[in-house]
Amino acid sequence: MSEAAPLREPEPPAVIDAPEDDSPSHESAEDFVLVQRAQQGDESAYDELVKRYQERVYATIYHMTANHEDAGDLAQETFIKAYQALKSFKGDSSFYTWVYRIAVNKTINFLKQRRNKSHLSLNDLDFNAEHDPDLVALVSDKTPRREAGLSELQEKLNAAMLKLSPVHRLVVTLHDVQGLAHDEIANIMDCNIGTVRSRLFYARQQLQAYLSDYLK
Amino acid sequence: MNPHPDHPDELQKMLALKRHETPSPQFFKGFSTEVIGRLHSPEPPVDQAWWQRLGLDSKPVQVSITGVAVCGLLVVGLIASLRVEPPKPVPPSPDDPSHLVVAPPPNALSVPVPAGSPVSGVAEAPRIGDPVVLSRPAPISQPKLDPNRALLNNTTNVK
Repeated sequence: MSEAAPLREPEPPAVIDAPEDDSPSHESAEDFVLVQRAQQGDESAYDELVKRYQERVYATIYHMTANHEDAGDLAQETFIKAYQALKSFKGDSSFYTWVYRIAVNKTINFLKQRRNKSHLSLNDLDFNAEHDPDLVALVSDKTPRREAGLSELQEKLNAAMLKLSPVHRLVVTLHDVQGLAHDEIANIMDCNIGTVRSRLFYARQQLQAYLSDYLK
Repeated sequence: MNPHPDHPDELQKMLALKRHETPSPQFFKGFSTEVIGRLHSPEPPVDQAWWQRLGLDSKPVQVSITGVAVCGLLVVGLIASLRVEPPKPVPPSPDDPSHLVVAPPPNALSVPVPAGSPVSGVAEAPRIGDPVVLSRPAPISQPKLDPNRALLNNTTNVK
């Protein structure tokens, strides 16, 4: 069964979070200096900031859109908009959180306009995928999906992700794919941690339902 | 019975697959240069639909308010148009000669009109030199009964 009825958003199980470190990292301090220089018109400083975050910003947008070309365009537009708004950046949050917020808002707006006109344009799996023990186990396990190669799994997974609403897709992307902490996601999405956990729990349930054929 | 009803570990493993979806290494080489280059190039005009130009793109509240306001204006306009009464005729003032009516001469209708005449059945226009009668509004009064007619009615009842 690949189609699943929409599920009601349930209460997440109670989880006690370990206290997360709020102290500014060394990376944030360097970012702050680079931002100050960029605010004074130093383009080389901004170039450095782009290089630092281009892969992470691109990856977030790519996992949201499942389209390489759209992700490339939106990532560029994100950094251009960030540069234009750099004067208004006061340093209340890290540059990284701030630029992520711009990327997320841009992507969600883009997805609203695109609606059902999405088509997949997936990146190839890198060399390491075939040597990832988890993935090898997933494919070669004695299950009905053993005939499916990694490419088919990749396509099914992306199709299932696209069935999620943008906010649910975003929490799965940021947490389960990119490994961000709950509080970082809450900062980026401008909501509280409970909402992040609730959305994550619901999104995983939906994904499990959509991918039930491949998770037996 | 399925020992892993929700397969959380399996899903996590599957999601790990997405970390391996990366563009070619060349993709990021010129990325920041392109961004810096685009900072100085003028943005091409974006094709927008009419509702986007009106700012009604992604603001459902604004769209709703605008719709309600337009409908409200239409309803108010409709009601106002139904309530407008036709202008009342102003009573003629004695000094205003515009209420005076020019009546045709008494013999105007008795003039024989030749058959087949294009003006047959139409009263002849007054000519210069004809007497003009100015009529005044007739006073409203009870109609007078004809005494002969009343008597006739009485005799019919007796029979």
